[in-house]
Amino acid sequence: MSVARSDRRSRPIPRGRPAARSASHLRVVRPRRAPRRIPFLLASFVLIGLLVTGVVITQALVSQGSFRMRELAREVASLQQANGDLRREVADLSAPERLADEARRLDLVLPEHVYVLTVNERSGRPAGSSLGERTGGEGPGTGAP
Amino acid sequence: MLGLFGILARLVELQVADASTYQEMAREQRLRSIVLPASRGSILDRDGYELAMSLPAKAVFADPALVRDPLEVARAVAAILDLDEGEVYDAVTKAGDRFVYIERGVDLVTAGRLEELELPGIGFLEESRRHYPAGALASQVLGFVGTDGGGLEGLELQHDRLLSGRPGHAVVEEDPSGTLIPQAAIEDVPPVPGNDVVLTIDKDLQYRAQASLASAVRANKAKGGTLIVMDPHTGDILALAVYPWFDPNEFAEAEERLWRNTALIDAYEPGSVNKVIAASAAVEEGLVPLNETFSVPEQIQIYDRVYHDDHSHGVLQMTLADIVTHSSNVGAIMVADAVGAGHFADYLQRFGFGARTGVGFPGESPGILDPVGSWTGTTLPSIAIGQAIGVTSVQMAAVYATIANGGVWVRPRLVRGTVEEGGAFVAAPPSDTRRVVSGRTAQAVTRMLSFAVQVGTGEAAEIPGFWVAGKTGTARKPLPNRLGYSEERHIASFIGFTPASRPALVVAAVLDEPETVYGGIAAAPLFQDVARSALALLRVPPAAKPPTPPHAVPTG
Repeated sequence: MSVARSDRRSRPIPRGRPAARSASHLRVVRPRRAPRRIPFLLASFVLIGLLVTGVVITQALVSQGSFRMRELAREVASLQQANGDLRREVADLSAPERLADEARRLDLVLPEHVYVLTVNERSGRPAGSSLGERTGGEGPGTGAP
Repeated sequence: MLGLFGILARLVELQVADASTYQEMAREQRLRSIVLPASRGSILDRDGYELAMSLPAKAVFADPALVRDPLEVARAVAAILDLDEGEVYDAVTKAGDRFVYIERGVDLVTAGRLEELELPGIGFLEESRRHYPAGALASQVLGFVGTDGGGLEGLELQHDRLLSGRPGHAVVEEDPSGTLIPQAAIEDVPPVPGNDVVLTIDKDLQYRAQASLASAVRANKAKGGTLIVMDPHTGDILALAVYPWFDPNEFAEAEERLWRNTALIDAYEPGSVNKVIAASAAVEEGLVPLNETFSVPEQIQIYDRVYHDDHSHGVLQMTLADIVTHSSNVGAIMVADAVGAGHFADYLQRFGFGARTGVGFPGESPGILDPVGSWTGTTLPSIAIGQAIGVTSVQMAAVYATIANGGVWVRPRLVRGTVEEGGAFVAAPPSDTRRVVSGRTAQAVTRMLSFAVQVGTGEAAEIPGFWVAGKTGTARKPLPNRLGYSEERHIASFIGFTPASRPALVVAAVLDEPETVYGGIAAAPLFQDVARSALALLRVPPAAKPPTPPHAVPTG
């Protein structure tokens, strides 16, 4: 190939001149090196490897995220349930009927007399020990709601 | 070569011609639309106690086409949900249906146990279930919701839109195994939770009111009763009890008649408690001076009807205060006659009869008040003594609240405000008001009503130290199928306010068909019991005794 190229460059030999003279223009052309394939292949493998690893990692992260989301969703549901249960417990325990039952169980009774003290505005002390009239009712009636 | 062309043609068909169709099919396969239910708001008492609350729950459904082993599935589902195995089997084998509810309102823990079994053909939907922690407390006020979470009765129905909120939705992508692809959410519209509704009801007072009402109904062998406690200045209904009641947690098991809030829905003939209208009108119009006496016979004939007093007496000289105090029918008719039909009808309307109070309760009755143009000769005297007119207990309580509030009618209300998503309380606008009679007239009528409790028919309602102003009512019930009134069936009531000279609360006690028919005997003690509790709970101080009004009939 290189010979052919050098042929293209060489001038045409004039007629009548000796061939030896034109031979002095010839020279040895060193063959060109074949291109190196190994680094290219290596680089390709590394690139492909990186890409595959990236895809796998991404997939793993996506799956991990999905699992985590499901886990969190379950945790949210569980916390919501716990919150609901606690709210319900508070409301159930504060229900007037339960409180009345509990009070009866503990033998608590409403005061027979309720006294109203009128505070003297000047001295800030009660004006008299008791001024009030009886206002208290009986204990909670039976057959409560 | 021909084969290659064939393949190329098919490729073009798939990738170009039908591309959009297949894209859509693929999209449908991997996209899933999820409805995100909004949590229903709570109903709170005036101090923030939850009277109705929503808890997260799940609905369990079956897709019979996907159930492989119906017997095994039915057994497992029935065991966890505590259902009848046969019924579950019927549900999971229902031919032709792709969606059959098995159970609704299942708590999350129980639903979770079922989900873990991963039974093919069994699915779950997010929802909530309503819980009423105090059971039957104010049940006819609260109402209840249906299985789909919508309000069906009472305030649950009235404020359904406010409580329901707005459901959201999400469109998500999932892989073939049904696992959500996290980054692929295409649409996400979060739900807007419902607002909480804060009532004017005080749970402790409501409990006492219900307990006292139940005792009174049993003691008087009555058919039922209603009891209302109201703030006369704001119109706030602090307690509203209707007996018998039901548990809204199990409303389906109660008789439908128990769902009715009879205090607002049912109209009745009020009887003598209505005499306060004629008295107020007479004083306001200056037609009957307070010290003027009427010669009141035992009975009076008007057209074809004879009206008579409850007890025998000769001709009595009675002032307006005496007529109110001793609940004279004949005297009240004479006063109403002095006022005249036109004026009297006008006062009835101004006191709120014949129109809904505006509380907004579903099914609220406007009562029955015929237009004055259609009145006969006996309509005026009949209405003067509380017949030929239909009122609700709340309307009647509002009349006494008007006197207690210095002559200004205030629209009763059950809702104080709402709590929005962020937790901010938004107060409801104050109730509408209108002046019905002057402050002086209200004061004069208060003195008469207080005197009626001190020495008249309402003695059993008195609370020494506070002083009660009120009136008894004993009304015969109309016959169900023909004209006329029953001799056996009565409505006994006592409506009043206390302290008489500085009113803090109005109590209306109404008993339906008590064995002891008189309001002063059957209903006045109930008034006293509840009023005492309310005074103590609301920490109302005692007040001075109101002055005695001019009277001519000697007292006790």
